[in-house]
Amino acid sequence: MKTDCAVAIDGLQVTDVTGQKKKSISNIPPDCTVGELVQELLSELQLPKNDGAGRPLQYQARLDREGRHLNGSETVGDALQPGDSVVLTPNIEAGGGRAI
Amino acid sequence: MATDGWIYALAVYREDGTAVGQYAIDVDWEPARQWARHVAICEGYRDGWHDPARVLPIWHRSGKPVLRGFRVVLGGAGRRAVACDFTSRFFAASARALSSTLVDAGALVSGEVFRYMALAVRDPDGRPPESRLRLVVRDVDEANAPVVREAARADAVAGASRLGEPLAGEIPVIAAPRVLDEIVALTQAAGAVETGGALVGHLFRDASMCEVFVRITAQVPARHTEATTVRLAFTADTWRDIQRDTDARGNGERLVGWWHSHPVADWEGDTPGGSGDDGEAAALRDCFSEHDSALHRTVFPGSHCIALVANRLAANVVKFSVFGWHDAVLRRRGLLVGGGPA
Repeated sequence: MKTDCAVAIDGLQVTDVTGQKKKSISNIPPDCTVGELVQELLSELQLPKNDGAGRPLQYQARLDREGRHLNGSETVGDALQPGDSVVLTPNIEAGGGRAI
Repeated sequence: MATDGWIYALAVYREDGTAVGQYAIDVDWEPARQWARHVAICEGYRDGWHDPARVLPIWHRSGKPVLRGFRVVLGGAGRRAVACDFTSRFFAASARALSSTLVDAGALVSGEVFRYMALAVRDPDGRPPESRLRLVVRDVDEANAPVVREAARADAVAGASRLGEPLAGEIPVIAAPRVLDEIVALTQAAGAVETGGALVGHLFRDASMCEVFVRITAQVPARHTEATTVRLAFTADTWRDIQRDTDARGNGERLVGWWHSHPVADWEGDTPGGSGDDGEAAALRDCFSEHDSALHRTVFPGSHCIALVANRLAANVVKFSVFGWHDAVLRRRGLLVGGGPA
């Protein structure tokens, strides 16, 4: 369902992958992209944007209502409804690299 | 975390003492905030989990701007405050990240030994950065307060055997033996490629000792990974399934760590990224790489969370290494296996 473009999205529930950090987000501009929103949410959930060597970490937002990962280029107004729940999940690698 | 108008920086020197420069650092305070939460849980702190944590400099005896460490304060706004002090060792991760940048910029040579000193200086602006999207953010109560059960630590560790060298003051983590048995079986079945999964269980507090401990009740195999002999990528689908599988168990378990394998037997003579030297393979089999560290920090910043590495040294020989947080720094640590009911 497409939300009215002029209305900000309220009451978005955002959690990290462990479910141990959870925030309610309101006043989300409907014309911003999911990718822009995710970058802002990383700070709010104290999730790192880069790995130990300064390389950017990749995250996806999984929308519970549809059981799918949102595309970073989708707009919030197209993808989200008030009260939706999303989980921020990293694509992250173990192994390799220098020992710490 | 609120830094009260201080900017943190590192002064970098070459081994001979010549200065390379001073560099502002974007400090990842989250492990320190989590360790302060751990101290608060031990002390039976009940409220104020939503109050923003503050970080304050602790000056070196030589005076400002040189740091001996810093203090994290939880609560305090009309509530009981809990303070936790950290040494400047915490900045080692920032120094490692900075060194990569300095090597890229030609200020340091790859492999060069350097020294650093942590500093804090007043931010002339002094205002925290505003949200670009001007979001309104609110904590959700049930998720941010820690889920802790009460139990006697002595009962939980009774009869447990030790795996690895314990770190003084480590948070006791007790794994059910079948968890390790399953990891060994999965590691052997994976053969020449890495495999892994999540560790789930419960966090307990022993009120009589003001201590917490962890009981690992199960491992959840990771699916939808991308694996090679030396790397294992946990994808967004991996985490989705781990969350679903954990919820489906219906025991109220939480993610308390993760594990992954090192197929060392397949590295000998074909060392990943190296010369094929057996000594290098020996070092790699027992290491926790910067990628491992980044994964642990990203998904498992909780002070009680551990990482288990299953080193497959031969077809039927798997040895474990254990890593976890101590004073907000990742260190090698021990694990208890077995024990009594908690």
